[in-house]
Amino acid sequence: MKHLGDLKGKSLEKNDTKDHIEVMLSNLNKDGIDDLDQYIEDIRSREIQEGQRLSTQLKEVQGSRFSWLLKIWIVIFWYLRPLLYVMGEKTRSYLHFLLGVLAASWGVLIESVSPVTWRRTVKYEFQRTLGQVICGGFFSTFFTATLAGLAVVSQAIFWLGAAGLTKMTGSILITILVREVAPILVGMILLGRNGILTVAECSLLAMNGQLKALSTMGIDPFITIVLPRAWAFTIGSFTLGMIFGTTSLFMGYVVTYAMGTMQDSIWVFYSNILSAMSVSDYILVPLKFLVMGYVVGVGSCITGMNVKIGDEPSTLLPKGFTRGIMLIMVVNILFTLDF
Amino acid sequence: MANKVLLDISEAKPSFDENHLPPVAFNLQVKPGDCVIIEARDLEAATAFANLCSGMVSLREGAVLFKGLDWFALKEPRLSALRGCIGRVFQKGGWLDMYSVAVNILSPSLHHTMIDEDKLIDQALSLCHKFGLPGLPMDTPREATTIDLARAACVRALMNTPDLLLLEYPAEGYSADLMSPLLEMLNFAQNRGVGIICFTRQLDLWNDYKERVTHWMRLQEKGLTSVRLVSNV
Repeated sequence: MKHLGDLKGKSLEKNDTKDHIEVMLSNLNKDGIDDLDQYIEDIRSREIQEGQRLSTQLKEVQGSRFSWLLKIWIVIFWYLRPLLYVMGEKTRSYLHFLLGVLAASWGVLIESVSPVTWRRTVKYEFQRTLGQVICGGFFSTFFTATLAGLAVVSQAIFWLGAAGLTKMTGSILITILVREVAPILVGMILLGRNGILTVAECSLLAMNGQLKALSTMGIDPFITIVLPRAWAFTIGSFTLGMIFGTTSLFMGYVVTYAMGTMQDSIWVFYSNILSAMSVSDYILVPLKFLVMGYVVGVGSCITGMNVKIGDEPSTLLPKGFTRGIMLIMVVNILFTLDF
Repeated sequence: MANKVLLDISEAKPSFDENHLPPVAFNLQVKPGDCVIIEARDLEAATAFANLCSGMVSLREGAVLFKGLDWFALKEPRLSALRGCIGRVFQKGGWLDMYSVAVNILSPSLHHTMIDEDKLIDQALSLCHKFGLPGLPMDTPREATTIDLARAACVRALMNTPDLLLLEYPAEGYSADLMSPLLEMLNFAQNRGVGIICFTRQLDLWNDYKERVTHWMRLQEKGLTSVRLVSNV
């Protein structure tokens, strides 16, 4: 009887503390189960699942005047939960990425100031990437700019001439082509041609343990890989942007001149365009190209280096592309608000 | 200099994050000119221990001092500069596929020193010839053969007179073509006061070098233990 009393006392005590896991633990030890942590984890997840059942939650609602309202809310929330989960996960993921890009961008700026940073390996990587960005993106930019010149510039000149608004040609081309279309198209060329390549390269470095090997040799991957690439993308973006602007305007002029719509010389045409530019255009348009290239470069490196165990090229490359597009749009919107 | 300890691992217990090393205290002292041969059958554990020597593994207890400096008390850029004093042959992941093998060989020296590039190239060429390479390989690591990569790895480790050599299975599975120049270069390095830690699967591979080996050890589940060799090893 004494033993029984002790047992009852013990079980009551355990019930009071509601620590079912401890009770089960003692039984488990007797049964000789080795992986106790896994077992505890299973019990916990089962308890959580129990608590999350709709019927359990509805039963837990205490009867009051507005309990039916609360029950409706629980049912609605229950069915909305998967959708909210997906939305929340994606939002957190993109916010996490944006904050990561901001932090890395700041880090690149700070490290770039130090003369110790610009060692020969960093300069080598900078030159290599700059060559890839400018040489690799030149023809894509040239053809895209030609098409934009044929489609946008010639049409704008033609229709503004037809409407008798020839004087507005310069300002409209600056607003549409130079400020808005050119940065987006150059950003997308940069992303597709070099950003994705960077994502692939950096992810391979991370997955094959080469980033760790670099650190082991005393070579900081952030300094040697991210920093030079960010600056190479920045300068590359500016260069391609200038090529795009000049080529598209030139091609537009050639077409309209050939069609007989435009009678002025090329110099007068360019002069009209330049006179339509304000002081802020001279600062903000190049700045937009620079910032666009910078964030695409940093974003691509971060996406590649933060590769997860389950990631494969088929999931990583689309992720890199969508993130890059998001960065391009964010920069574009920020600059548009500033204009 | 001879009495100073180059690498001092005292009661170093790896953190729980490092799951390739057993959670026991490691002790090892390497003096300049010492050669430690460690038999390690577990390849991951060998890499993890080499990382521990380079201050890449966080510790729960104990300390790892290299040239009298605690790895975990140092901050960048001194930390990276100190790691630049170690020459290492990696088991895997040591080659950046986007660069040629030549650039891979020269990168650590170009990064850590201000020695003229031409001098570094001359030094690399001389080492390449010693290890049986016709010159600096301009292929990417993917295009190079395994034996050439093994030779190039030795060249990279020996570049720019390191203070400590960490060699993960440098000549395992390859012919005597690589072993004999390696032993010759290790002998030369040891005479200069370089500390050497070399991992191997078979201790008898080092028979020809046993007179120069100061410690024979074994890395296993219970940690790092000394091995007393019988005369025929």
